[in-house]
Amino acid sequence: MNDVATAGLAQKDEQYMVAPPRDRLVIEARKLDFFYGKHQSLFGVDLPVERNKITALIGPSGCGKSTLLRALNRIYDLYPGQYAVGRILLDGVDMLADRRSVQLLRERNTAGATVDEEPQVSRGGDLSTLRARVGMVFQKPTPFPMSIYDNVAFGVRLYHRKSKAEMDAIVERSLKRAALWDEVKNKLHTSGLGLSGGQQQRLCVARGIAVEPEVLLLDEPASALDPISTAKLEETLMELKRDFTIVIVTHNLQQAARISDYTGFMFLGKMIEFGPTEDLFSNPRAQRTRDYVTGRFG
Amino acid sequence: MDRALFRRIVNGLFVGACSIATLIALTALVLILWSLLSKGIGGLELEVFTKSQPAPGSEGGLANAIVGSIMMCALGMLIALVVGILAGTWLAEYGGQTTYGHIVRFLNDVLLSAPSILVGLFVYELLVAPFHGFSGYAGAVALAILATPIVTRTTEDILTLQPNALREAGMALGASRAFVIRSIIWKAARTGLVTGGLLGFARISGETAPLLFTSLGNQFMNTHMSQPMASLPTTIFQFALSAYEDWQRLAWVGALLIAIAVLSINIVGRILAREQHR
Repeated sequence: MNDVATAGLAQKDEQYMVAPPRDRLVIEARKLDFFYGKHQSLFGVDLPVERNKITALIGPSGCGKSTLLRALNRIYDLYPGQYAVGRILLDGVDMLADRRSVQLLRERNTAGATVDEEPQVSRGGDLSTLRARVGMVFQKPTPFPMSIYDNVAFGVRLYHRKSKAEMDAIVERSLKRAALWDEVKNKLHTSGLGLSGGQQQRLCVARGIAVEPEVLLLDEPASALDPISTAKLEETLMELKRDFTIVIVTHNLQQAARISDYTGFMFLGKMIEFGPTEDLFSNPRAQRTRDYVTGRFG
Repeated sequence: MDRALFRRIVNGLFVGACSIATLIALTALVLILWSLLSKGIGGLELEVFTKSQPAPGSEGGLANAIVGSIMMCALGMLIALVVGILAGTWLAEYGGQTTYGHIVRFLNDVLLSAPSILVGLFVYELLVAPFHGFSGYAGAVALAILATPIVTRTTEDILTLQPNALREAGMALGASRAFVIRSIIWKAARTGLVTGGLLGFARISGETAPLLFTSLGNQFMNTHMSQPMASLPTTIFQFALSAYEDWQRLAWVGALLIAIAVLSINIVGRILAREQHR
């Protein structure tokens, strides 16, 4: 891990960041605040995500790790009253660059908090493009009420017209990468709802990667699965990081330690510590992180 | 007294009371079906479906009333399904929590229990009086007004039950809100949407009062909806009140037909719903 640069250190309430080199980042949250109406649940969070690595977010319930994940593809936009202030850079392009977000950021800047550069309104905040590049898999499997084939093809059809042969190839490739192909190849045109929980979750992974996103966000994807399905899913994720960048929220510390390259520990809406997984687990710098990973609280 | 024995007695009394109440309700249903069957089945001949209503004392059937009922119910349900599903979707997915949404929901609930004769009078004022004529269209609109609130209500209820995770999953792939609703949410909710349609149909298939003011009735076969139109309920109403025995017999046949139609559509709907639920 000698290519890791130390970016920022100890702010006023113990915050330790060991960020990957800037030129290897694919998506990055900078000084991100998040609000559910009047309730603020993220406070100036930084999250640098390195390409082709697995980044895990851990922390006790309610610490904001799911909120942070949901901010990265702006899925919160579905709900009026929820909004983010700060920056979300995808390959250096600000995804929080729509008129409203920029105005909120300017207001915050004038209120005292500083950010590196003046925010500008741009087309970077186009949600459809953003979501094609940042896929998401949820806690509970969410197969659509249609066939396995149509589930995988759903996202692709939103963006491209493909011939039957091309689509067949995409579906097969996606299901193979999600390690589901062998189990479903003979029943592609039966309902996706007929699969087991673990299979449904891998179907959702296949659906997510079929559109070839750069980043795949996973929100506690294994919490509704049995240990065998979990192991299979983890194996799949390890394979997938060759082609994709993965950010995973997990309650399971062993899982984070097993599969991730970087880990962020969050507490009360703040990023307390971020760094290479090995370091964070074996030699945590913040007292809170130490307490959490040794099981003293949380 | 022994505690366990006391509990057994209380339990027995409660189960007994429930059983008796069920029996009373079922008895009423069986009696209705029995009188319909015993008085209607005798007159259920092919002529009922092929011939229009007779003059007293001569041969005839209910063909004009059956055709009129089918046409008006079909058009009424078409309007109710389009308006009801769209309105219910709006309430569930878009504006349901706004002030305007609350007002719409409240008014829909009022309409849900509006007396059907008032709906008939309303459509009379709206579509009959200004055009100086009763018509099948007016009848269909009156029926649509009765069925729409039912469809709206069930649509909203069933869409609200669909998990948000499903909406998020669709949006996370980059689909627009409207596309997610059309291609995922409606599909997931289709069982409930079918049920809403069935409930609406069951409500309007036997409605008499609103048709008296709108489609009036017609003793001849008529397939032009701009003209007065016969319907089973109004024909039953007319025949049952008459002094002629053969008309009264046809009224019983008509009542039996409505019962069979509602029953079979319900059964078909349930089977469809179960198929889709698999």
